[in-house]
Amino acid sequence: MSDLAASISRVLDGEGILASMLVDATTSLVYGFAGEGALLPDPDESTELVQLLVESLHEAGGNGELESLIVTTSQCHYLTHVVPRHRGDDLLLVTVADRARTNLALADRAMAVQAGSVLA
Amino acid sequence: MSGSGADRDWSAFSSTTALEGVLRQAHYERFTGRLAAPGSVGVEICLVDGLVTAILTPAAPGPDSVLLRSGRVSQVEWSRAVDTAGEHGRLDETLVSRSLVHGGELDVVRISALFDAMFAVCLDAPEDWEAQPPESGIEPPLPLVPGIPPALLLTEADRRSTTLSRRWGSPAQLARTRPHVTAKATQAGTSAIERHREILLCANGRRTPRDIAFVLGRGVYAVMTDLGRLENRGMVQIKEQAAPATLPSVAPRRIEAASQATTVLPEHAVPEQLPRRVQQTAARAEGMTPYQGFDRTRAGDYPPS
Repeated sequence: MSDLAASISRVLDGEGILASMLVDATTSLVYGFAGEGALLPDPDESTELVQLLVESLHEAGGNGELESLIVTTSQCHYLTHVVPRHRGDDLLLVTVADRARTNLALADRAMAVQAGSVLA
Repeated sequence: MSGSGADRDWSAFSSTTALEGVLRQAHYERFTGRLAAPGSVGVEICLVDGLVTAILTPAAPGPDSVLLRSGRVSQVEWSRAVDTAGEHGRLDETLVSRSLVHGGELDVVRISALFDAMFAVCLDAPEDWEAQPPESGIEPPLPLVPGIPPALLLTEADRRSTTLSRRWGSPAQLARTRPHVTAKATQAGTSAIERHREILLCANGRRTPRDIAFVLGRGVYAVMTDLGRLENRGMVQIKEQAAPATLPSVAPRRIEAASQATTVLPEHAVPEQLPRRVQQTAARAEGMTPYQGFDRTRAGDYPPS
């Protein structure tokens, strides 16, 4: 297993995490996924949403960079974290968490840590 | 990557080309070697056991160009790593062991470069391909091992082409354009995110998306999608490449005043109008051919006996 595949698989160690994928925020290319792939959102739609948010925030005069995006449904939490990179286009770590087994705040914090280490 | 190439329905592609046929056969036969396009200088697809490990093409930056041009690895550090790895050593392991790039980051760069190269090749896919032994030609600097099933690469190239077609028209035409910034991009109060600012600084009317990709160390498709976004915002004009004039222009040269300093582009980025120098530079750029002088030897026809 490559370094990248191992990193993406480690994301599933989190409590209640059902699936995760690493996707290029510009090209929508999926570098890898783990868990129940059918639960993951469409990569194209995920990246398009993030692009729109980034550009809209910038046009509105918002300073700083987008870090995360959380969408909740009655069944799942969808957590999208921008992977910090020194260079290169943004990558997104998208995770799906079981709402019944997940504390949203803790899951968000855990995924932020995972996003910071997924390329290491 | 999602799915496996082995169980893909190859007939599902929207178009059937010679490249698809050759790659399908190479994957089926677990071919190890190179597929070269005699009619296209520098285009080679390297396979190991039927999986694509590297694509050499002047149409898209390879992983080495991405690492160097983006500033992830300096030229000096790269040269030292190449020396340390030696002729037959693992350059990827050397780069990681010297902490020049993380293993995961290197995987991302190699995978994205591979998909981008296939997309670029498919934009103008050669019709004729021939098989060559693995040791022929230049060694790809950072092959992806194990490689990627050709079906995945072609499916992704098809998706990218479809996405561009749906949003901005013909990808092949977009690839040939030489975009330039518009007056709106230089207006005070107009802003763009950092990634788009870098493209605006490169869009001088002489560079194609491929040229910009090489300058920035990014993928060709990523640059094309960003150019499309910038055009939608009216900050870039994407025009067809003008046909070369048969006679030199006799119109008097006109020096236009430089635009005001702007929010989007820094003052030094506003190009000064130097018609003569610009024309000479453009002519030199036209004459340049990446991998010029690359010595190609035919080693046999596909499939190998």
